[in-house]
Amino acid sequence: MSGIRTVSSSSANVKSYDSIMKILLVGDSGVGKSCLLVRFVEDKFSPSFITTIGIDFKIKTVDINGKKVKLQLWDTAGQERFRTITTAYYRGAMGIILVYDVTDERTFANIKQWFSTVNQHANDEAQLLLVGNKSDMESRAVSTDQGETLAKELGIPFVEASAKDDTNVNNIFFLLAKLIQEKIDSEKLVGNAGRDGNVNIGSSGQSSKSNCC
Amino acid sequence: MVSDHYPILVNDHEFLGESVLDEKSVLYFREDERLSLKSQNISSAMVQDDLDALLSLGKSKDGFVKHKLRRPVWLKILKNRLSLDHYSEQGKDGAELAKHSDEHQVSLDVRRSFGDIHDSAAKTFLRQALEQTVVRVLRTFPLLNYYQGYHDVVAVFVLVFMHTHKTEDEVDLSDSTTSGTPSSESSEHHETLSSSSISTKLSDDSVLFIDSEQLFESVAIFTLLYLRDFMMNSLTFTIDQLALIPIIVKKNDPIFHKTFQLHEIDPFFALSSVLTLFSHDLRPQSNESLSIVFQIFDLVIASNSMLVPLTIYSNLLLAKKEDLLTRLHENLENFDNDTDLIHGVIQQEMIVGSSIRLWNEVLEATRASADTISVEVKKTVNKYSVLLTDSQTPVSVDDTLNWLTKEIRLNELRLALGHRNSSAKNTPSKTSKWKAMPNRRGPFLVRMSLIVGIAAILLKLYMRSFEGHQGYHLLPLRSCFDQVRSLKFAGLQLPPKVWLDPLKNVLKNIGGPFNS
Repeated sequence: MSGIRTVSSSSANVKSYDSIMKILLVGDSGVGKSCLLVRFVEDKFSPSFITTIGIDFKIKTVDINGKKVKLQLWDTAGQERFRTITTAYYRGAMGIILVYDVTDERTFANIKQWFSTVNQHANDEAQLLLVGNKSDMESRAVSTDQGETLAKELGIPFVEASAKDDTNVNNIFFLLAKLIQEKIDSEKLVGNAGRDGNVNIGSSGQSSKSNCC
Repeated sequence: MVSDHYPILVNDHEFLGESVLDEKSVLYFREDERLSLKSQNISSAMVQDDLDALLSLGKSKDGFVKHKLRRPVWLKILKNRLSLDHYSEQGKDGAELAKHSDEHQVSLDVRRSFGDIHDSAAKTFLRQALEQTVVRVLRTFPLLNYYQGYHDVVAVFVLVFMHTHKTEDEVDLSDSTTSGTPSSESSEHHETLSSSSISTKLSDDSVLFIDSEQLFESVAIFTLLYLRDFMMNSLTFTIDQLALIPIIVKKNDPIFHKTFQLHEIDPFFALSSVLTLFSHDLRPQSNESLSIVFQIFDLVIASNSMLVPLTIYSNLLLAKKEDLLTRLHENLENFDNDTDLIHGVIQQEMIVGSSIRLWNEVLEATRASADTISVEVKKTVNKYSVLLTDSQTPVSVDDTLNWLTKEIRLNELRLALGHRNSSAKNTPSKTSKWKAMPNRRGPFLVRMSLIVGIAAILLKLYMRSFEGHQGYHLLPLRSCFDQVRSLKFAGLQLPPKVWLDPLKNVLKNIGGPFNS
């Protein structure tokens, strides 16, 4: 695609021995990103879950093919005004979950925008996953077929889930982690740059630099 | 359920008609005695109309102590600073005002509010009051943009302005409505009700009341005086405010500042705390932490300064220094990059890991700290920021709307010029020079044409630089301009060597991300 993606991929820092996966949840406000996360991490559900402001993150360790994998889960605010900030956290994400609400067509229609934002800011190799949340609801506005069709069009896997009745929630994260692990194993996801900077705290540890003027 | 008469606001003093002297439990506990004494002082300052005394009481330990006092005191102080004039009449009696474009987002967030209130009738009632208030503020002042988190702020006002009628004591909804004092509010039910109250009956026959006019008035004044910067159509001025946190930290502890790379990393981790005056992070945790929230609001209102949340956040960082450092070193290998590392470490440690005792210490430190960074504030925020206009109160509503309009214009200018204060390497002096530009009234066209000229030269240089630059293929013209604007050319001098980092620009892009 554009040079942006080529450039940003150089900041991928996955090491074959790394047992940490950075995963990001994006999607419109109110689709249930935080609910999915809390269901997965704490196995809780509250219908009046609190709004995410800016960025939140949680950690959960899971077992993938006998390997202990630490999932670092970054939850983002859905309101448009926060997007300028949240995109700064796309860097180094190995998995990105795009969430919509099956009862709200608008959130489904916006997935394409989210997809393009993700492509603009995330690593080329990041594994994406489309999730239709609230599958338990009767007031469905987006069919499973529509979800599948869109996923095919975007070339990414698709899962319908419900944080409320705990349908497929674990599957989302395990599927994503497995896909990422496969990529790592086949060395597709190994970036050409190492960790950028945080080994040496206190130094000017930003991304690799070069002068062009 | 909602009464539709709103004749005259109740005289503040009537609220205090009932003495707080007869609180029973207080006699046995020194702490309660102290609070009781403080309550009396607040009451008598109200009766004597002694605003200075009220302000200093609000700035001292435990703030305004309890909601029964907070309601009239907040209203009195706020009304003293700003009169809403005819705006307080607008939207009254359900009068039709044009819809605000953010109302969909408001309803999404209201639906998720008051999750900690167990009684479902009470929850519905509070949500209704919250939505009505937020929507009325937005419709009355349509220039304001709603942000997620504004509802958390207004929810605090709703809790303060809610009171109950019951034969005996105040109803305990989720134990979250009392503010730190264990005293039974037996005199509460005598609080005079105005006819602008909205009310609902709970299953235990108690009745919840909110004076919707007083609630609206307090929220509207608070919003216009203290939250304007957050209510632009972008986060630009919010990010400006956040930039003061590293400055305060550095003044107090330069080594910590350096270790946590606060000169490089944007303090986005403080976003929800600052935008909501800590109500978002503290509210769900416990009743005690909720009482901290009320005290923070007391402090902001009494000291008439939105520097308070920024100072509190900085003091909290400093108070947790050791734990933060430990956690930082434990996590060096666990994060992809420094931004993630610092954000993750601070977020994990700060809010969740802070005890009430620590919070009280932080509040004490904040109350004691004099405003020592006024120079930096001037350099960092826009000229009409709430951090600078607060010294000019009392003001008229037209003054605040005038500031708001000017801020909106500056914000648009900043967006158009694409200046990003989030650029981590900007020092305050650098940014202020750049930011001062749209602030000035000078011949802007001249500057713009200079910008275009320099941009053209740089563009040419930049294109040429591709030859030696593999990997960076054709960047969109826009990001090239992004780089141009990040240069220090406001002073009309080109730096001898220009560093252009396209990746950083792309990542830190503050412009609309959906432009691709």
